[in-house]
Amino acid sequence: MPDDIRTTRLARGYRRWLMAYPRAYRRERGPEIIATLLDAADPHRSRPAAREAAFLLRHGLSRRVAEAGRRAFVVAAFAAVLGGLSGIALGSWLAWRDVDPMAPDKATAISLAPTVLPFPFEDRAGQFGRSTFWNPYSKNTLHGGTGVRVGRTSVTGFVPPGATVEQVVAGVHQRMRAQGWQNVQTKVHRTGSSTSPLVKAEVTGTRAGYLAAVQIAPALTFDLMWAEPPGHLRDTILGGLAGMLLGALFGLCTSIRMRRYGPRMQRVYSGLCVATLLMLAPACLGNIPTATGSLLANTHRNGPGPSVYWGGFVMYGAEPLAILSLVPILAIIVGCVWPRPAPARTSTTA
Amino acid sequence: MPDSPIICILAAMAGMRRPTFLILSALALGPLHGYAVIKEVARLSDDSVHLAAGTLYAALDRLSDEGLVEVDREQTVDGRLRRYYRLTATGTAALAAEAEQMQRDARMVTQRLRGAGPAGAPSPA
Repeated sequence: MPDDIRTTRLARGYRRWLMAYPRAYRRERGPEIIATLLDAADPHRSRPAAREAAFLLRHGLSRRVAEAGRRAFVVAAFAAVLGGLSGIALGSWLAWRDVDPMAPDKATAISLAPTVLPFPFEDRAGQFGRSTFWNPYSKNTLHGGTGVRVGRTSVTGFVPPGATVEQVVAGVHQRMRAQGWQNVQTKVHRTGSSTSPLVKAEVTGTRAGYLAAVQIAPALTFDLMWAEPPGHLRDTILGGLAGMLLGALFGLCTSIRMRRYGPRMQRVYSGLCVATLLMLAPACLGNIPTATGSLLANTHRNGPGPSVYWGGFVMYGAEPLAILSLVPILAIIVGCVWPRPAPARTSTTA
Repeated sequence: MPDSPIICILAAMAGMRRPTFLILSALALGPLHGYAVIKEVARLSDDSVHLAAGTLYAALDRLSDEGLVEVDREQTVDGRLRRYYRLTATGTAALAAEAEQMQRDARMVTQRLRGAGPAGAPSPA
């Protein structure tokens, strides 16, 4: 490859890595740095060395951090956390959007009971609302928490006399697997003394969008709920990552943009950031994901159930505050896009 | 003159980091542009320190902010911009103070090592 083409390609490569530096710095120092890089490069090189590229990236980003100031990164960090937790809620909510908010109907539960229970069962089903203290949408509904999709329809089975819990568990497990239920899992809990132990068990499985949970305690109950939709975990994680990234960018960009104002407006901006944080904190903290839903919104109560990761935003008080947080956020956006008036000129007379 | 092991250790422990010390040392004889600084640092360190351009310019920015170096002149050679840097009076004084401190520390350590005797055991009075 001719030397001039090689040098041109090399220079182009270095210019790309120089994008890590702030624009003003690039304009002032870029030609000098490129010249030094070309002088120091191996004569046969046509692409930047990995070591050089890594150093350019590192120092360029350090330069950006130094110019943006510490406040920008504090704001970006908090915004990333709030954005991430909000994104988790949004991702989970979107995944659950196509699932019926009401519990599965009684007829379906009765028709599915033979595929789960190898023993006789009652020919009527009950629906128990997941009326939870933290969810205002779950009040006065027999069909489960509207808004969090965890209502259940129950059928009571009859355990054969003399059958042990272990025998019942084995029978249910075998029946479910034979009838096409997937992910059939068993959990046995033993409490009490070794001479008179208390044994409880749960068998769960999924099929055609339903989640079956059989509780043997030792009374036999079959609960039919909606299973977590496919892609729920993926959408929740993607929502969290997207929210974190957007939050960080929003925090960083608004903080840098607001530096064009004087100290008074800077204080107003800081106040708006604090207001946003205080308003979103209850919902976000309550929505920290756990194995059974959200930190303050457990959706596995009264036995196993599907996980829902937006419960924190439904909680009493958290939801209106989270909605109100749009006000300071909009005020920040307006402050950033508002054209800054030109400095006032004082007229002078000769 | 190649760095003695003791100088290398002391430079690492001193307040000024070794690359910074070598950059200032490279500029001690007169103004140099970026690539010349990289070459001179390699020569002074007996090829043990190879500065990347990103590292060099981060150090020059910092030294410039601290008032230890400043731009001397600019020149375009074969279409490439070269900016020459020189030590300021403050930079010269800081370099001299650092070198003197390192010499004092080196003398102290060498005496203690001689006094310790074989295998680090103190020699009998």
